[in-house]
Amino acid sequence: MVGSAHDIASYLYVCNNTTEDATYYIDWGIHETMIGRLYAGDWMLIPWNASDDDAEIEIQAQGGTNIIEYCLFNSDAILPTAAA
Amino acid sequence: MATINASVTINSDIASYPVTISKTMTMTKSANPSVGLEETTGLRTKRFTDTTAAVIVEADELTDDTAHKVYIRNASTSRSNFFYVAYNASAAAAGTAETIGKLYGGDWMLMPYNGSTNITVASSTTTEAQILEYMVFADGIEAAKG
Repeated sequence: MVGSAHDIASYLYVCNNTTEDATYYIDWGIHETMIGRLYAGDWMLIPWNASDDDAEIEIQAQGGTNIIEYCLFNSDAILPTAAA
Repeated sequence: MATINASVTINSDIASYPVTISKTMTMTKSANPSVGLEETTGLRTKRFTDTTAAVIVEADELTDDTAHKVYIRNASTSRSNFFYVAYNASAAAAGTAETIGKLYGGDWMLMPYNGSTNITVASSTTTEAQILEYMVFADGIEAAKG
């Protein structure tokens, strides 16, 4: 998930809907910094300010196939400029 | 065994197809998902009157790379002011690596946390005191140092 406008008041919900194995998790983080582990069945709700171009939210599945549900409630989004 | 449950409900009518999310989780240990978390840092409340960054969660008090959950709530009522919340040893600002987001008055967050770097906050205002509530549901607290 990449931010476009910066230092905004967005909210991010992520849920790990994996049911196959409770030891599975996703590492979540910002850019290349991992912040926590979202285990199977867990959810998180955080504010996200997309502080700069390197503030994208990243996840990485661990253990096996993880099923992730997420929703970004965005206060401001800048769409890519269409190619001429 | 202790049991800690957390629930979230999100409703939105901003689109033609409304978003309705309702989830409950039981916080469990990373090493044994059938066992619930059994430790917390306790619920703390802190009043901030300036914009100096402050560490609210010290990573060295928690076991690394487990299933901690951090709860933070801005108990103030003003929607104009906020706290920057960062995964950083000592700083929290707009472009700090890694600032997570801005927690406005009345907002809360619950996030998984690996206990490897401090959680630092900074109030956005010096003209109005802001109250922050926070707590770690811990998957391993290290023996007190000092």
